[in-house]
Amino acid sequence: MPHTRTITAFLISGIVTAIFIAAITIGGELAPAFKDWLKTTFYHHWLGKGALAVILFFVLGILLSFIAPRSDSALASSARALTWVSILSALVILGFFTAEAFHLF
Amino acid sequence: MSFGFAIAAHVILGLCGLASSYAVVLNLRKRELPRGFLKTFSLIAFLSYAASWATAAYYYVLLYGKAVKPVILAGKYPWAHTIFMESKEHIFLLIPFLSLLTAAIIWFLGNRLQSDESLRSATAALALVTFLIGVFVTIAGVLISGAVR
Repeated sequence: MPHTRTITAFLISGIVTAIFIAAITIGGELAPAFKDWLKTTFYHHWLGKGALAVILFFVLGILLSFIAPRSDSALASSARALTWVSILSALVILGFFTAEAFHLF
Repeated sequence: MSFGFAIAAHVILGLCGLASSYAVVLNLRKRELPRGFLKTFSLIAFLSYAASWATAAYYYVLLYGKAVKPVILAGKYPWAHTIFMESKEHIFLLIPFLSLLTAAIIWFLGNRLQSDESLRSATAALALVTFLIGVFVTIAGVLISGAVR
């Protein structure tokens, strides 16, 4: 089915986007110059992170639509992987800001 | 748009998304899937989260950093900002993508959800994690609101 490949592609893109959100969040805190660039370019660092995540999600999803697997098992596996990666991404972000608040680094 | 209206809309739309995600989780567990219901509520969930994101952006970008954050940091509960607001604003970014993908599976592959148990449980897990992240964001919002007072 044509939708299977497209949705699998966007699920994989969602996995990459979830990792990207955690990475850009932590990267922005650890590299002030990067956070400043986000502020300068997008008016606010949070708007920049959201805009870059949206662009990444759709561009990568479209590109992967040509090469993603068509199988039903890949579709369900991608959905499960996205679930776990999202949980990990959320925990990493929460853990990072908790550690930062307690001056652990 | 006033900031009061923006924050009220953000909260109401977020709760609407949360309730819709929960309805999707529960209905994906039924023996006979109510496909029309699932389509409607998965779409409402995505649209509510997207609109909640937009209204949050208006309030957060234009008011929070200048008027609310300094009050919290100078108050008794600065961790409400340093831990919960910082985490909430970034973890929230996951929700629109998760809810969009849940809706996409239900809308475009809904006819297979009835017979494909693996796809159905994976979709239910996706909707459940959307709901749970939404619950965390909601609780963080309550803590932040309390810390301002």
